[in-house]
Amino acid sequence: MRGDPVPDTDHVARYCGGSTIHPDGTVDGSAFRLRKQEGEWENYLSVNWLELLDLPNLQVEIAALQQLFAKKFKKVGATARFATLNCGEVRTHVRSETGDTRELHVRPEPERPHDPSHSGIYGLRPDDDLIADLIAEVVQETYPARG
Amino acid sequence: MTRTHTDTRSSTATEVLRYRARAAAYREFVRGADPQVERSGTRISASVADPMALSTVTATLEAGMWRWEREKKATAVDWDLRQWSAPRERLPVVTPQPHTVPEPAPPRTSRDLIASLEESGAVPFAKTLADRLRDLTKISREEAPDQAPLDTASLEGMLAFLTKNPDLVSPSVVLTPEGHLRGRWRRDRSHYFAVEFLDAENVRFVLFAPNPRHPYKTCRIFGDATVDSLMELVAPYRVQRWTSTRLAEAA
Repeated sequence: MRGDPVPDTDHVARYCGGSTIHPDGTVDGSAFRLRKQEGEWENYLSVNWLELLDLPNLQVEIAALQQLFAKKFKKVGATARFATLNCGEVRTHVRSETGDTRELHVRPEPERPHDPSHSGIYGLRPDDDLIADLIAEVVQETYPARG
Repeated sequence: MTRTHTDTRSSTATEVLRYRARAAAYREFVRGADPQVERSGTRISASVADPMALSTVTATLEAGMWRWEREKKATAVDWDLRQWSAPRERLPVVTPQPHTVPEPAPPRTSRDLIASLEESGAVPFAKTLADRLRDLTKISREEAPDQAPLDTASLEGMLAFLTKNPDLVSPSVVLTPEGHLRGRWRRDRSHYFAVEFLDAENVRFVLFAPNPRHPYKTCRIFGDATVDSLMELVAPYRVQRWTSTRLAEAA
């Protein structure tokens, strides 16, 4: 499945640290930037493909992610949130609002066996602050990252 | 025949040294005589002839160096230069005064800066901002090491920016994963201004604002600037209109 794009109709969730959440509950664009990992820039923005979890509804999907992150990371911040995004909306918004008509792609990057829904948003570059802020504009909902 | 004595000790103000050169010649070579002082560019020299006119001694100061020369006449007694040249330790050389270096102030911590912000009231929303900064500090501690701690230089930059622009309403502040403060002013999708304080001097900003010539279009701009120049840079987009009025997003 790696390499096939996530359909535009589907949704992904991004773990956003509590420091990047504004007092009004909105997510800051800095949560959607590539980061350096051990001196190397990430190739993509890590997200989780919600529909792939194949669960009855969004609440259950978020609960599954909360459990997953509790296992995956030693510490999940009390104020950290999952921000949900529609893939098609992200792609369209960024393409239409950037001068270089930037094309983003969402592709699965499964980390088996524990994180099969892990995916990546491709097309971002380091210090792409404007694109990151555009992505933040189309966040649909946020949910606590800690269950 | 010319013999030279050089004192490499450094000197300071030219005018002071000019006086010293003149005084040296006056005092050391021919008491009571009036030395001829000449100045050429940075070179100052004081010349005197001995009472028997057998030789002339010249004290020259150039580029911080003393040079002593004695020109003997053909029939002169072989004067010992040492009789004419003052011992080095007696030369009236101006030595630089030791600089008084103040003890460096202990580095200010984020905690100190937040406390002083609150006490000084340098910005109208100091209390709200200080509370928010303390919250962010607490969150960053909880989320370490994925979240870097609040960068003190970034905090200095933000406080300098807010102090320089006292008309700004309170920004909505977050901490980037790198530990930089980022302030946001937003009215709607086409009135959006976010400033990340990279250190005490530099910022990175994102601006969504109506095109000044075609207000129905939105300009999307990002870039780097300095704390003291940012508002001038974005002034053509009339950012002040919605970041310094009640229409702007309150904290």
